[in-house]
Amino acid sequence: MTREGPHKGPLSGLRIADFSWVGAGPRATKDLADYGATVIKVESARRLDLGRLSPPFKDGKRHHDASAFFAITNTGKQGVTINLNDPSGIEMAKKLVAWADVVVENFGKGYMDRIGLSWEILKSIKPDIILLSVSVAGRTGPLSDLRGYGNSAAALSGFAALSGWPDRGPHMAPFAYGDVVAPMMATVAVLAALEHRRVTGEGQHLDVSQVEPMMLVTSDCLADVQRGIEPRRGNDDPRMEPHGLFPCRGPDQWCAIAVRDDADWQVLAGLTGIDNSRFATLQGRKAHAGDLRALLAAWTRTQDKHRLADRLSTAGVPAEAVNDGRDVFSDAELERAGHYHRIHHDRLGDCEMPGPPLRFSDAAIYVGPPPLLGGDNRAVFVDLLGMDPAAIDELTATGALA
Amino acid sequence: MLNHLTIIDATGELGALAGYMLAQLGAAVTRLVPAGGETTDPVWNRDKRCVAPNDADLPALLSKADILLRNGPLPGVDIADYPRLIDVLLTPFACTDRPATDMTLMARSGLLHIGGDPDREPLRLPGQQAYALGAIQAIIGALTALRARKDKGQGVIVSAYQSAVLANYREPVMWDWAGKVGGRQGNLLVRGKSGVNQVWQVADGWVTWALVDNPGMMRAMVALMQADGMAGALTGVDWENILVADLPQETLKDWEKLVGAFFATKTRAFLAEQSNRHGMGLSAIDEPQDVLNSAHHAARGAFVPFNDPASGRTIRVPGPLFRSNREDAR
Repeated sequence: MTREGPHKGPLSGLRIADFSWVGAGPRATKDLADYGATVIKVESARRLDLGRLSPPFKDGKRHHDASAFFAITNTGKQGVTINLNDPSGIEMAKKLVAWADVVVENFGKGYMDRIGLSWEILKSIKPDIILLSVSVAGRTGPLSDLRGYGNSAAALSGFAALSGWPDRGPHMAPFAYGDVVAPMMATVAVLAALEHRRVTGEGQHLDVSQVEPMMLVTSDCLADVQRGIEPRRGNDDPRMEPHGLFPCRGPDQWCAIAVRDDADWQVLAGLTGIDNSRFATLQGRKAHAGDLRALLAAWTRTQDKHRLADRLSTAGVPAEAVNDGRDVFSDAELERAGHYHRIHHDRLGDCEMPGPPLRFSDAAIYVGPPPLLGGDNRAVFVDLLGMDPAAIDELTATGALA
Repeated sequence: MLNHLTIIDATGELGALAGYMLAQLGAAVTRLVPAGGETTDPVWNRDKRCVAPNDADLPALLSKADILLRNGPLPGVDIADYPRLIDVLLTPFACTDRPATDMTLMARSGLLHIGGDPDREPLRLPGQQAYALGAIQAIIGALTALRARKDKGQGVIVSAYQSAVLANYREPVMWDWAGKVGGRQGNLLVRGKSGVNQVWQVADGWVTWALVDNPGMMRAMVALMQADGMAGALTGVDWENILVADLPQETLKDWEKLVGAFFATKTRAFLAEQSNRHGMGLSAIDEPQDVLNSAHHAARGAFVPFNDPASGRTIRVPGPLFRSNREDAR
């Protein structure tokens, strides 16, 4: 049976035909699925979603249904396989479009047109359809043909140039931040378009780039450039001192400490015993920052990062340990908040998947298992779309549903 | 798109972006200036009507509002008196009451541990990214609750910390599934047994490119180097039948010396143009001024003028959140 509607999330009843792959599209549709939308992920065994090939794998064994990376990016979706290079496959895709409220894609520019799923055709199938296109640089403009990865978005948005130390070159963050921010913007765009459609009855084609959301979230830095303020400033903050990371006991262990104002400083001075009138004001702390940081580092160096962070926080000074992946995975705050959701998956077994970072007072969030490759073909094509089982068998045999 | 919605933005620095985004989508946003004064960068308060708390008739505002954005209790306000309201509480932590800044949230999320160079302390991302992630999640929560609203609204609690943890999509998973803890690699991309450089100095700045397992991209770059007689040992590499990620580090270093020497003779514009033409997977790293002056961004109307009260000048700031075929709707 199809899973449409068994869990009444706040987006229950919303239907998504998801042709997107890898990260930038699937993360948006994961959000919608976690909130109760029915998301049907369209893939092809002939051209696997690269996410399915990304480690880590269950028991370290590479398999298209065993990637943990793919799993956390695709929770709660149903999976079908359609060969979009086959005319019969395209006809099946059109049936999904007719069923859907929203179609999502992140192919190269022009691909949807070439396979017969252009915006005009989608509208002719369903006049109020919402089409979401996610790409590196957007669907218009001189760079609209650019095919790239997260690094391209970091490079073209200024994010890489804004990252780093003032005495060194740009820094490329070791994860694709564009694949984080763009899907969130895509989710906002879809929800706003749905609200617009609720009021007006009109659909629309949404064009979300990876570059523009990265510029949005650094608006303050881009403004600082034009104000004559150095934007690449490592861990410094012009409004706070101390503001940085201080060494703690053990190799490569650090604690982040932020003194927001003079009152914070008085508390920290009392705890550390650093008592010097030079440091009483922000201006003084900035002027003597080198001395102050050295004194503070000498005090933190012998302390456990977690205990130090708890001690300072309890006293009212913002401080947190610089956590690694292990620390984060076992963080009690996440446990209490229900950040991880237990799922059962035929290949991965019983495991935990991160869920949305929020909760509703009157609605549940259900994080379901990710789809097996083509695992819901019969449920979707026969049970949901009402196709003849024999016809589906034939399309499967000819490769149209592969 | 959201011209029919009314928003009250009672947040501080954490959340001001959410109000701005809703204003960009057409909603009427009233910003309650925080007690003690506004410390938020004015770029996040564009297109809002700002009122001092003492001047605001809060009950009247809230009775007309669809969405309230806040970081904590509003003095004298019982949210239960406004049953249709979508009440979004954006806090540093969902379950813990402790002080936080953007940097401390990022530290706890694990994102700092992997950022920066191995010979220095961990490095934060530019700007206030935990705050930004929390703010965008707050809008997702608000609009999701709005879609579910029938006769009554509901509360939404959003954790900025958890929003940052979600952005750290590799490290907790690598620990859970592979027992591995990552570290700082500078600008090396480490996949498999070796690391490859991602950031290169060229004649007039920086570009991003890497030796990766993409034979088409690698062949295109080597062909370009051969045209200048600078491909050396890269000539004749059978990209289809090697796994770059598992090559010895010394081999990669030798190859990267050749690439670095070639890049040093070329400009960003030349390399980017060649990459677009031949599919080399290279991008010029734009400095902020390049971004502000980009023909691509200009063609998309990505920046708009803003009378900046902080500098007293008109500056350019990011404008539309995304594009739509219905520009009147956006």
